[in-house]
Amino acid sequence: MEPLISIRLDRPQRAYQVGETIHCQYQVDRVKLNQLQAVEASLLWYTEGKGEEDLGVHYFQRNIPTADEPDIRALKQFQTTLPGSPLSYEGIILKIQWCARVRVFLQDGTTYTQDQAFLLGKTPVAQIVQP
Amino acid sequence: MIHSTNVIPAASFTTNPFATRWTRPDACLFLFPPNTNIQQLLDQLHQQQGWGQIVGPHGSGKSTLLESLKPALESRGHQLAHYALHQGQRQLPMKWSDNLLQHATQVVVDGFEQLSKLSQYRLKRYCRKFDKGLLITTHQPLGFADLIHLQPDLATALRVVAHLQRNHPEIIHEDDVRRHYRHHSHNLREMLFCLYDLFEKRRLETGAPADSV
Repeated sequence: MEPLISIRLDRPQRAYQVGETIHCQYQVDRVKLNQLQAVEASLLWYTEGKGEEDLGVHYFQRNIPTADEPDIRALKQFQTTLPGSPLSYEGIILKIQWCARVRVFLQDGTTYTQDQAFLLGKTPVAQIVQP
Repeated sequence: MIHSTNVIPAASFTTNPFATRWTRPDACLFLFPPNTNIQQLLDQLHQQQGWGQIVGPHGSGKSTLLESLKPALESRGHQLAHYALHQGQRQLPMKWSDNLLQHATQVVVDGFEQLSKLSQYRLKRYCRKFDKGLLITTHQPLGFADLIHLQPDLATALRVVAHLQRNHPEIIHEDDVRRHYRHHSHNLREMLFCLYDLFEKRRLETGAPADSV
């Protein structure tokens, strides 16, 4: 059974503006502590489209079990100020998606990833117009 | 013509199953032809002491097959040195003293024919001398023992499209695949590029709801 990865952003509409602070909570469940190697959380953007892809990581944290904090499944949170670019964009040949991403690394080498998408800015969606 | 309107974007856009992130060689599952599977190819390569050529035209899945073979080779204990060559790249992007190459038991070169004849000769001689396997992809046979000849057909194209759309409403239909497959002269990569555009056009026309990415 796959681990259950929960991600929650502080705004139900998941829409943010440049320079605002985003709060993110995440938690890992349905996995035994001794199976876990690390849990990584990041805030990133990536492109999707027909050509080369790009990706940029704005915030990153990695959790590994320590003597002070042995259970890395517990609820964690972070906050960060959102940058000025790139803005979310839904074009025809290119889209830019922002998301909070949590990756779970198991001792056996398996990795599980969960994304929670959000909007940065309010760039209108591109439309095809027939001539 | 494309322009922007005041349509409000959603936090999560509708992902296009024909976008590069789903179709690039390391993201897309290689669909083996009937009566062929990965174990057969690995066994055959082993019998050929790690030497072999994957032959096929542009967009036939050579790189995708290599990406499928790589983890399987590693799980059989091979250390891989993988080089992907682009058009006009006449020399290998490495030095003979590189650790990756020196420790490799299996050298993999995607696009071997891009190399100059001299570079091809040197690499083959190096691999023979140090008892390393050499697996290549090429558009035309280059005198290596065959591993597989890829010749995509319509049935393969239909399987690939069905696989890519498996988590989506069926926006691209079989007739679309037949038409674009013929139009692109059996080049699956080019066909998928065109299906990306068709998917976008129909998605916008139908106002398909955003789904999770």
